[in-house]
Amino acid sequence: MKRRLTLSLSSVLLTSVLLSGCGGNNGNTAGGPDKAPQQSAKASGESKTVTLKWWGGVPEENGPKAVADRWNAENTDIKVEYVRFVNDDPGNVKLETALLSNTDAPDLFVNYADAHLERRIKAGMVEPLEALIKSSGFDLEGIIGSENITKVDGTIYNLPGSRDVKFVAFNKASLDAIGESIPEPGWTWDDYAALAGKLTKEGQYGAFFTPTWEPIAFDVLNSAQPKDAYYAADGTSNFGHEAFRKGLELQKKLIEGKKVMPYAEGVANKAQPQDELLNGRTASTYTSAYFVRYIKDDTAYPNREYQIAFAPMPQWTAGGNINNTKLNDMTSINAKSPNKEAAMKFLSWFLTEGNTEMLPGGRIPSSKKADVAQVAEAVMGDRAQYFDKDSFVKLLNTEYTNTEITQTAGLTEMRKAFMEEAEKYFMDAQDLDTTVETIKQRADEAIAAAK
Amino acid sequence: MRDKTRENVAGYLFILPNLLGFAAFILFPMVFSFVLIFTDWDYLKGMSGFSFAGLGNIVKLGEDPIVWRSLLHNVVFSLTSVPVALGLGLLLAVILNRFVYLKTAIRTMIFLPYMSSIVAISVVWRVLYNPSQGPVNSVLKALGVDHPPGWLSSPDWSLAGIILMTIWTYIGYAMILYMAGIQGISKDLYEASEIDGASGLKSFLHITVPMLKPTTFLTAVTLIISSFQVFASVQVMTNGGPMRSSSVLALYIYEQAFELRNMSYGATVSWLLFLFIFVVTLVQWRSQRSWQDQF
Repeated sequence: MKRRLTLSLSSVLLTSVLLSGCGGNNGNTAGGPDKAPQQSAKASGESKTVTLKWWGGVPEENGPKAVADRWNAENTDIKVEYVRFVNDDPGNVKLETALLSNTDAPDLFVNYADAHLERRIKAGMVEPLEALIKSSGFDLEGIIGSENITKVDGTIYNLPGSRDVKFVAFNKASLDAIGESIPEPGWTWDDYAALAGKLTKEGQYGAFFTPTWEPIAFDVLNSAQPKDAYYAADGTSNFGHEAFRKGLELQKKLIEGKKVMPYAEGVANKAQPQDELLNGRTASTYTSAYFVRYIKDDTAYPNREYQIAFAPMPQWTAGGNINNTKLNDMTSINAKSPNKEAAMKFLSWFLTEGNTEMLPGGRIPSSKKADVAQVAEAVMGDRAQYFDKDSFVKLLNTEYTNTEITQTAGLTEMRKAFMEEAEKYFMDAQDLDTTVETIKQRADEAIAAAK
Repeated sequence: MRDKTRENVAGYLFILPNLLGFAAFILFPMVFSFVLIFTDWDYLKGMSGFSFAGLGNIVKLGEDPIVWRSLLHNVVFSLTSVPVALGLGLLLAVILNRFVYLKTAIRTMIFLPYMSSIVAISVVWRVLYNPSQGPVNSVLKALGVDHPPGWLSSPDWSLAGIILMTIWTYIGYAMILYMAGIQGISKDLYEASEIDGASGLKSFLHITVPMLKPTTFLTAVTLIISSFQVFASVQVMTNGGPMRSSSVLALYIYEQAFELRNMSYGATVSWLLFLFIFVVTLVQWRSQRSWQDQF
């Protein structure tokens, strides 16, 4: 016993010595960047070289590196360095911790959710951009249009770098096999459910819903009310809306009819749309622009003898043209950054021309001036054989009413309540009425708590 | 006297690196998280984000059904995984000690899961547990089970699925410690009992098991503590679902702190977890004392 004690004591000692050794090192490295900005600030006084830190969630090789390389080749006075954070909860905490620190902080960063942006604005981390836009001479109306920007309390805190589009991707061969053509813009959720039923056959489900996303009821609700879908006119939550209820029912019916993967199986296996569609296990999937990256990937999904066809988001009312997306990659400038002008200069260039370098990675520029045919060509690149080109161009060409978000009170909690309660409904643990009521109640509480 | 002082200074200098590390990485976070219980901290605002919340977090804790449900899962988790792992570990240790063929190879194989990354293991087991195409259910179906469990996709089986995997990783740990313990038992005892005519089973029950009590105690304490802290496997395999059927406290702490950003409430729940482990360990120490009285 005594020997064991000595042994364990000495190992504890050893570990802590090692740990504190690491601690010492951390101190040193933390001291490094501490000095670096001062040096670069000094240097900027002399030779005017500024290094901007640009934080985003896109893997470096999918575009940001090309953007930074091009900028750095063209500019000697301002250097851009891309830092990738993974866009999940720990990744966003990492970004926020970096924004809090006074050393080594990001100058520009990308917000991927309105709730995140709002939280950061409240904490005073985000610079209002009106003055900077003016002084930099950025052509806001010509390139993005101020009506397309999410504003908070009437102020611009972000400029979006890309345009997302939600769509339904089809296995074209499966459509051909049942003699159906690609759905036209303006098709409805009922059409969607019917088509999913027809497409289902032995070994292949008709449709697919990504289990980590909100259930499809969210998108149905959005197509009925594109502005602040989560909120009713009276300021309470909007889960009493008819479209929401219908969306839940639609998904449940598809689950019960075995037209989609069983809900629990999708969750347990963390099923991904790319694996299901591109391995032929489903005939269609509801997804968004990032998906083209996988269509092009013939290393991970080889031997495909079918093209992928595209149809815009189904509509609440036939002939409608609402898309449940908005301009994405909301790029903000750190309120504490010492190099705001330089950051704005880079951002302005990025929005005007730099973001075309992101095209091969499937990110469509937010610019109004982008030419759809060229965009389509650039996105498809040398993998055009996997795309049904006509429907792809058509998808990009459609004039959409985008969703708009101006309220964000309690958004995170509401989303959680929605997903948890819907799960109970899909797994037969709770009926539709209780589900809708509980979500509505929890969401109203969340809104009240946030106010 | 001066020598004594010098010696003291030298002594403190020697422990200084350790002490600094302890203060910075253990003591400060502990005290800080305790302070958090009584505040409402918006961490995005840094140190100015504090506001006093009194006992609000503790009241909320009492009213939060998910906390108690998660704690119950924790208890079930520990009460099943630890005894089963100890029992199987002991059995394997005894068998491996008797039958020497390929001892090292088998020992390594059984111990391997404990050394492997729990995240990697969890991913592999998630695939094994796949309800429609996974090997586990394929085997069950081949054996004539018509409706094999849905494992991780079923609210009734998700926790059991994780427990089974955990037992598999714990067995190796228990076995290694037991093997070491068995080798420490004097051969004289066995020889004496053999002369007295004791069978193999009797000498196992009356010599091996009692002599291994300290080992059992140590293994049980460490396994119970680590099983209460279970996080990675649950997060990777089910993320607490479906319908919170496999939610455990550590996961709930994470969810509160990093998904919903309630740092203060997360800290409150983590102190509950600490208190629970503390009490359990205390009880174990007490009971160990009474065991030792027998010797």
